Amino acid sequence: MAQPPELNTTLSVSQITGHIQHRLEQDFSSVWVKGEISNLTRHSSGHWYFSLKDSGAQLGAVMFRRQNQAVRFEITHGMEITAHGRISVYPPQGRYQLIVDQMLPAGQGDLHLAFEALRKKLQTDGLFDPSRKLPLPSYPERIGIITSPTGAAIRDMINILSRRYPLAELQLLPVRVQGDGAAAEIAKAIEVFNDRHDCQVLIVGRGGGSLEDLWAFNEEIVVRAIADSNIPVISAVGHETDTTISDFVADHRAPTPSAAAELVVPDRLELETRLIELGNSLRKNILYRVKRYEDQLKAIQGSYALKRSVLMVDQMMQKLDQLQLHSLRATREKISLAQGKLAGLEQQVSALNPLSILARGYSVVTGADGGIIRSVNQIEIGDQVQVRLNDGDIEANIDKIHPLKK
Amino acid sequence: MTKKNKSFEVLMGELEALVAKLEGEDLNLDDAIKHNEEALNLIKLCRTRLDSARQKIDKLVQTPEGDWQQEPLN
Repeated sequence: MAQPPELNTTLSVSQITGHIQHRLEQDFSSVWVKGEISNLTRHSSGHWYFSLKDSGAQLGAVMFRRQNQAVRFEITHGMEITAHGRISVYPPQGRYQLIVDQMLPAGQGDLHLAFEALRKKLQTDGLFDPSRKLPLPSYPERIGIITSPTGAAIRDMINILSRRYPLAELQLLPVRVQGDGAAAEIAKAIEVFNDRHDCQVLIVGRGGGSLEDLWAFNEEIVVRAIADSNIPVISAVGHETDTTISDFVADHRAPTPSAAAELVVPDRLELETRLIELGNSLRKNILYRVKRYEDQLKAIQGSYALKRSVLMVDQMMQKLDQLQLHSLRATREKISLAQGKLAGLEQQVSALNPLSILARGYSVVTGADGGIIRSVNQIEIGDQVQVRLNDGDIEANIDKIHPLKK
Repeated sequence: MTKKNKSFEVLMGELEALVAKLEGEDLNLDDAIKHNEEALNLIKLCRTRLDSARQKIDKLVQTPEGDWQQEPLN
């Protein structure tokens, strides 16, 4: 039997309820619960009140308007569902209930549980680590596509890729993307591309569908094949709102196949714009360089050193001119000197010419024998002599002889 | 490898490198003009590639022997 309580260890109802609330709300803050719907009341406020029950127990539940608006199927009394939510305790009534934030039909609920289980397991294995992610090539030459050969996804991708970047070669490996065997085919296709090793990037995906339709991309064999791929993989499954485990493990996640096609290649128009920009910057650059060299050249032309050397050349020229002038003058002087001398000599020579003496009034007397008479002793009275004057000869007879008295 | 065989990626890489070199300072005018001409040729080649490219689309099919073969997607 219990001892009578000490006052300070006794709990009030509020205190113990508070403890229970704390415990329950902490331990069951996010749970999946499977059960059958009963006592369903859709309140005018929009909230749903119901119980989940199975053969052994029942659990009060509420799904508020904001959450139940997202439920895409009609819920009815007796329906098997899987609900996600948290346990909440309502102290005034000493009741606990499940606050539901997500609800799925039972079958889909199983898939969700499987999804969560595999996601957790692979996350623990480190398959989603950002460090495992491979970078995408900037300009892929060959792109491997793993999807259904029919359907909108492949058509959309081919359209976008052809428009954006026709340089890339596309290799489609057709696979089934839903139903039995789809996962194995997809995984095999990833291996085939890795063995062939000629694509630089892979797109694995399909168009939108139900959770079951997309299920292959939640299977471990596909997820492991993506993780093991040495070629970067883009997952492109369903619509924006669909999430698969392939998305977590892929090197890059695209919200849709079309988005994958957009991000896997550069845009041709952007590339062309870039090329034009590069061309412009080249032009600017080369013009700038030429201008800079021109400026340098101008600076050199205006420099003192060059001016000085030009000046020196000028000075040299001047000097040369002067020298030429001097030498000319000197030569001229020499010539006129020589000319003067020559004239003197000429005069002298002509002064010595006997004929020029005759011009001055002298005459030469020659005897009969032709010899020049230099003395009175050479002639006698009666001799005939010839007198040569400047302008002619005279025949003369000697009449008298007067020798000079010395 | 001749220019014609080079992938677009390689050509773009060479082009970007040339432009970067030209934007650097220590280049004499002759080299700059040479590089510039080379870069302009690369731009022309890249643009021709872009303009003339027609996408090749193949699918992979398995032969009875189990090998994978490329054939054009119709």
